[in-house]
Amino acid sequence: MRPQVVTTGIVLSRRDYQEADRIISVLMPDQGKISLIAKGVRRPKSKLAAGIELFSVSELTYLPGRSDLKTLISSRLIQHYGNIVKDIKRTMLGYEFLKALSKVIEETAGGEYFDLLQHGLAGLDNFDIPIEVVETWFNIHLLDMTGHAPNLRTDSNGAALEPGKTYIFSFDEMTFAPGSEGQPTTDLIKYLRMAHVSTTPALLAQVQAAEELRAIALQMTKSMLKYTLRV
Amino acid sequence: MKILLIEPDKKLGDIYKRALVQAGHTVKWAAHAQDAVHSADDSKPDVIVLELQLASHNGIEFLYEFRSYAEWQTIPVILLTMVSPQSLNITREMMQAFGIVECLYKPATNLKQLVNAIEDLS
Amino acid sequence: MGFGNDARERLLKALAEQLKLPLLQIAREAELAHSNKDATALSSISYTADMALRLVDSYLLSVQLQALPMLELEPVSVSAMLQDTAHQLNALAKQYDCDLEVHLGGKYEPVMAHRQSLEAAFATLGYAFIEATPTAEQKHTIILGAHRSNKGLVTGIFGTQDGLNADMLRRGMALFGTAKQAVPSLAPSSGAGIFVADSLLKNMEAPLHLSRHNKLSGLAATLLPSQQLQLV
Repeated sequence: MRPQVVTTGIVLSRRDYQEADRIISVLMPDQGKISLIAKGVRRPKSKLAAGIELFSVSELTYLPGRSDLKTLISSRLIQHYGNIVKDIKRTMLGYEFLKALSKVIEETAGGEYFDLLQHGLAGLDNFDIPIEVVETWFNIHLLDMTGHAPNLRTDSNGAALEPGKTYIFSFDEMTFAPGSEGQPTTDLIKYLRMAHVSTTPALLAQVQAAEELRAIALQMTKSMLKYTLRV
Repeated sequence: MKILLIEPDKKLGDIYKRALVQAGHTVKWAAHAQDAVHSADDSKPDVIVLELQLASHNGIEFLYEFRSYAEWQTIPVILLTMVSPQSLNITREMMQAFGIVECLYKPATNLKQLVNAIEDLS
Repeated sequence: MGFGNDARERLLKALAEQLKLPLLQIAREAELAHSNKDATALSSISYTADMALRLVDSYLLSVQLQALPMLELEPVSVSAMLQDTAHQLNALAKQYDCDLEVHLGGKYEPVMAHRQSLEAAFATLGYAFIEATPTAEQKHTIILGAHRSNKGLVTGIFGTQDGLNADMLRRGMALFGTAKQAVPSLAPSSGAGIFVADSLLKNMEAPLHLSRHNKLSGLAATLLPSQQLQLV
């Protein structure tokens, strides 16, 4: 009998496959992104959950094999971030996280993104953390992990960023360039640095920042993602 | 048209169903996302009218599941929801991705407007 | 005793969100009745309006009583209270295809309570349970029941709906007024009725908790028997 593999994973997506099966794309901390085939769970008898809730960490047992599709044997819920679906905006953002990672991670790679996703979902699950803080945190870390982190230390000339000076952000170079038409960015740069060093959204939420600043930081990181990763 | 109405409140579901039937449409009414998936299998709707705030699984979860099936990619969805436009803040990209053709805010949409929105699709 | 400003604001938000539903039901029912010249809809509209008003009044009562240094408690018959509540809710329950039953395991001594709060809390809680009635095909049963425990008289409302558990309730209590659906498996709307009821019962130091009655899950308050009448 083939040995079974037991691991944890977060479901990124589900889609139908042939007559009765579903393909589940899962992100695991060790193997990265893997596609598993769940046999016989397609409608009309399918459950929305199929024992594999979205926005959860599950323990998954599957049969390894040479083909790209491994067969899912069983799953068990370990942690369900059930609060996310109580808010439509958080649900939509949760799905955006899953979609973004599905796009940037190649098959059988990306185990290092598991923590990013888990912390992101945990952040969304906690209503004490403003949604824009979670999103900014996720964006900045996704940019970092994909090699597109903005330069928050030096300007386009290589000089250290100075407080009180005005800069314009260049999306081409992902760096701040000095410019008289720019906006004072000291607080924004500080906040983005804090986002970068915060290991979880909860830590970033503790940083004192005005709502307007948070909104600007979010918009900026969203634009960065759109420009670099097209997500 | 064949309409799949996804509405969790019994009273509202009954009212909307009666209004749509009176306007000459066939209506299948599901109160839950799971029931809605089963109903779509049975009734093969032409259009879906969807409340986002459902019990257990919300409307966004339903749409993700629904659109993961190849044969359900093109069925248009009209959101008829209690979530206000400023709270929902749905982007054009998301509407396109989900095949949402219209977002109607329930308190601001009377029955005639609902019927018109559906008939505009045909 | 009582909530801080933050909790009060959240309760008000949940209440405002909740009131959209009965008002919408009234508006659409009236529109349909007008186009069909259907007079029977008027009674449905009337019950809906009454329950919505009851919800608002319950909320106002909870706020008013929180401001008092002390509540005036009196012996209240739980059996009579539950029977009255069932009578009030019966017409609305029928509209939702609900069977409403009162289950009392025997005769119970009166409990010390603020009568008005207790009645308002159970009417409001009952309304929330009725409104959470699941799918059209299924007949739904709601029990207004009481049974003894070693802590007092457990009095509550129990139903056949799925998904009611301690974790769901705890999360819902933390999220009302913040999440649009604090307890989605029980109430697709804000579930304000549950939180208003809890607010009223908390004033009597008898907050809602998860409970079971005859194999059904529900929400209940544990009330203390009146010592006065035991001395008679």
